[in-house]
Amino acid sequence: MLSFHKCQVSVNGSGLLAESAQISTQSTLQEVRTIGRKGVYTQTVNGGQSISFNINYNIDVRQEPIFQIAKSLRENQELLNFDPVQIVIGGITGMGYLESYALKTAPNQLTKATANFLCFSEISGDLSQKSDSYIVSENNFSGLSNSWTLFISNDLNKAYRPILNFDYQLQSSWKPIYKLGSIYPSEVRNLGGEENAKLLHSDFKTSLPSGQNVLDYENVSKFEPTWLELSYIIDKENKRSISFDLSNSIVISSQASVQLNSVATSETSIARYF
Amino acid sequence: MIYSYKNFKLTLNGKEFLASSAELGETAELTPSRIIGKSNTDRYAPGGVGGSLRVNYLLSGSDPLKDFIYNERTPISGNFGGLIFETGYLRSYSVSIQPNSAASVSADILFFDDIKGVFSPTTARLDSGNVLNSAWANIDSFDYQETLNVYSFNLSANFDVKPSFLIENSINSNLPAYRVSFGPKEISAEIQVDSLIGRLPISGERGGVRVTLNDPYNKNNSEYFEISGLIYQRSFSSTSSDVLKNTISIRNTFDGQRPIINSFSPTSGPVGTKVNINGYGMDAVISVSMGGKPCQFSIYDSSNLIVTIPQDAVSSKITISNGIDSAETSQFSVSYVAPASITFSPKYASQGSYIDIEASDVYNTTHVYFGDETGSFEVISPTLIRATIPTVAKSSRLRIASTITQLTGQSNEELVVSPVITGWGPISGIYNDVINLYGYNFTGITGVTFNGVVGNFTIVNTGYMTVPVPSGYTRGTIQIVNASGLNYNINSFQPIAKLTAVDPASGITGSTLRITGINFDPEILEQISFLPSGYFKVSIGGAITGFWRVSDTLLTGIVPNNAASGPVFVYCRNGADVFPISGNFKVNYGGPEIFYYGAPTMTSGLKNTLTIKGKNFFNITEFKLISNTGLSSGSIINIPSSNYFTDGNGIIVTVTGLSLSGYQTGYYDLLIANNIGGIYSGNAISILKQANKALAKPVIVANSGDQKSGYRVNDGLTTDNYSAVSHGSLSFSGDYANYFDITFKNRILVNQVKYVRPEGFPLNNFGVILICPTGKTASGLSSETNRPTGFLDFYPPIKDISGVRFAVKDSTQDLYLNEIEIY
Repeated sequence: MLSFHKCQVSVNGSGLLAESAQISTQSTLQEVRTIGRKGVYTQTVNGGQSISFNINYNIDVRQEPIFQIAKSLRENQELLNFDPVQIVIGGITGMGYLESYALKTAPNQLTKATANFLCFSEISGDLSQKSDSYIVSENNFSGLSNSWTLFISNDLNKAYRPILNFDYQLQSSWKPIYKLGSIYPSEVRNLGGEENAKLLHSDFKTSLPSGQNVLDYENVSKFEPTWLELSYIIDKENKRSISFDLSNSIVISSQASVQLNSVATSETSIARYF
Repeated sequence: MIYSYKNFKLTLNGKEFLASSAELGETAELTPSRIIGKSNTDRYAPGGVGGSLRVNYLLSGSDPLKDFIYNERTPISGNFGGLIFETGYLRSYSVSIQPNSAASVSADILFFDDIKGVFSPTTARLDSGNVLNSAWANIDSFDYQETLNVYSFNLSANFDVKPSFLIENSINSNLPAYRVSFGPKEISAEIQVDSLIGRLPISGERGGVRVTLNDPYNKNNSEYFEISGLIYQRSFSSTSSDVLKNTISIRNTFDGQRPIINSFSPTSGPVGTKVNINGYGMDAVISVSMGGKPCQFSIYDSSNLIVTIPQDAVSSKITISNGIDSAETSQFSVSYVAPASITFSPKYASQGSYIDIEASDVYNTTHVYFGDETGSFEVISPTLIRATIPTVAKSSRLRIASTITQLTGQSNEELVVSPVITGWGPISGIYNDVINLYGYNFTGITGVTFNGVVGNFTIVNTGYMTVPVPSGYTRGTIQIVNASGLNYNINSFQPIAKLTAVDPASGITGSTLRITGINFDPEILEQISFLPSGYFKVSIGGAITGFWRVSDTLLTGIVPNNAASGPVFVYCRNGADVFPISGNFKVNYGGPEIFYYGAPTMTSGLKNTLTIKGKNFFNITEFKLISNTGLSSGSIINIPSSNYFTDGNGIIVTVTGLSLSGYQTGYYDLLIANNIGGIYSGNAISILKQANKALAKPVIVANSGDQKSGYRVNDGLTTDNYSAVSHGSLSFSGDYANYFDITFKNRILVNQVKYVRPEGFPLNNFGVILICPTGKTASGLSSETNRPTGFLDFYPPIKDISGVRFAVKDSTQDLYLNEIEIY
């Protein structure tokens, strides 16, 4: 049996402050029956196998490898090929492509990330202890980020409208190309993706039916959520951060809700495609 | 009662398969008969009865319908849960092969007979097995300019099937169609590939793809689909949610099946073996070859072909072709038979000519050996070879070999070829000298000639024989001939003359000498160029002269004046072989004689060289110069032997490195003496000290400065000793202020200046004379005191000055000079 504290979770060799991680494989099989006979002849392959690596972790803005992958995806669409990244969970290694990357920030809570990778080639290894050479990031708390150090507008100014909650998600679409005679794809192409974010406000504001730019909607000059390291609250100089410029996003929905024993809130969803 | 799919067993031609859906229908063709005024009718004109079976299935092995694509006229029988049709024909067929999926087939079968039988449900269980999935497929692309990666493969075939009915049968009964006719069919495929090329010629472009589906566990359980023909369409498509797809469409150019070989038997055997090739498309084969050589064949049926292994077959693959497509077996191993009963004609032949060799089974001959040598050849027939005898062939049995069959045959008889000489020597000689001949095929030699002169010979072995030079004129070709009349010639035997004695063995130059020897033939001796015909070149102690040829054994002539003791040579006319045998002759020379002495001047203080030509400069005992002029008359300069050399022939004596520093200028006699008959005194010669080696003479042309009276310039000063002399008196004051310059023409090197005071002039009035280059002042280069006559030597000679300045140191004195000579 392998305890959680002995499991290595890393992406491209960089350890993550993972709270949970999953590996799942799914084979697509087709049952074969025939007219005139009872029973199943066989189950045969009907499509490629899907393997996913899912990791939930606290982001460390000083060492956030998946942020760089996500940033490359959204900013380098002119590339013909994206190389797969190495994901290791408990000694099991796969070469995968980032399918989704989400950051969730709630008041007074650490910012948590969820990443999901798709693998189209064989994974290797067995569940095993992390190696002695493996060093998880052991920064002090200041590498973490929480709601105190999340800024939505540019220049680290507070947003015009108070935000109670902020979720960010990036999704990328991958197309494996299979040749006849091959179980595994000969290549994997990126078909684009989308970014969306949800903002929770204490007020409600409708958007234009034709779609409204988030800058107008939020009345800011730039909409670039930026997660700074926690030490920013002590020392505001030269702090590291991760950020996504969502200024071109469009408001796609807004929803107000009132519940018992709670304040009235409204949730606004914005989206941007790449 | 309703039954499920499990209860309808479906077979085609008695075979079960993995049908996922099936639809059986039957239609009676009724044509309504209507009349005007009524909207309906109950009258129908009956046509034929027929139906169709549409079926979709997966493959677990061989496709039950694929063969009918190429044999569409073959009827298909079907049983659908007990409902039977017997004469069905394929109307359409398609197979879809997608990545990581089972290959699925859809087919539509038409039949033109009535369905027979009664539905009878079954409840049988299905045994487990494996289906053919593209994940384990092998892809081959061919006839295309590049290898294709295939992402999907869809093959379809459509057939134009039409029934014909007999009148009396089709109307009143349910008899099947009397005849079924077939229109054109089309087999095509759409293939998704990665070739992003838009090229599509108007005539289409050849291409082909074969997809072989394999059972992942049982490799023998496979099926393949292929298309081979012309690419007639390309399409590129893409959506925002998918990658770019390139699909090529290929239409089969051959309406039959591409030849496919499943097996062949036997896989080995001798030439003439009948080999059965089993597979598909055999009835369309139009050519068969084996290792590139055509084979006779016969078509047994669409699946079998009989091939006859040809006479010249080598172990190789058998290739069959329908003119468009081809297929080949694995290697057929030919069992070979060694060539036998080898005979040849002619039995005697020269190298380079050809012979015909008859033997059995020579088709695969790769080498014909003549001894150890191979010759070029041509196989005329399975029993005849025509071979060229190599130039280095030896008499031997013939061998026929094949590196293909690894078999060899050898003749019983030996082919006799010409003798060959590969080396010989010496290449020159006199009568009876033994010439060695090396080569091969010396067995059976019958004769040897030197320039046609028959000689004797001795055969040491087949590669070595000795031949003494025969008597007579033998210059030219040596020929050896064997018993079969074949011969070999070598050229340029060079007979030589041999000197055996000189008589007398010694004598003085100018005396008569007799040279005796062998082969003093005018064709052998070298004619001397500067004497009339009949005189031949002879060397006596290095002196070349001509001797008269008295006979083949005697030459006579005069010992030339320049002869020296040494070897006597008789020259042969061919240059390089000029000194065959030598004898020695001693020249009894006389006293030295001088004919000529070159550059008869020597320079005092320099290293002199003097060349004297004459004769008898041998054993010199005295070599001296004796002054015969002036005050030094009678003085002797002995030239030591270390300073002279003779040329070995007594003709030239060269004096080198002789320094005469300190000796007076003047005329000397030259005396050379040797140890023969007293001292010979040659003509008196003058060896003078000379100003320099300049070719031009020094000439006093002017004087300048404080010229005093009594001076005159004599411009006829030149003498043979290259001096310039000023005669007369001159005087000038001293104290350097008064001086006397002499200017020389030709900028010669001045070695010496001689001056002579007037006779009777008081010596103490002369003072000190300082001499320096013109333009210089007080400090002269040399000085003289009170002497009546003085020699001022400049060593090294004064260069690059235009003259000499005379001045008197004491200004109270005048200088008087009667004579100045410049050397």
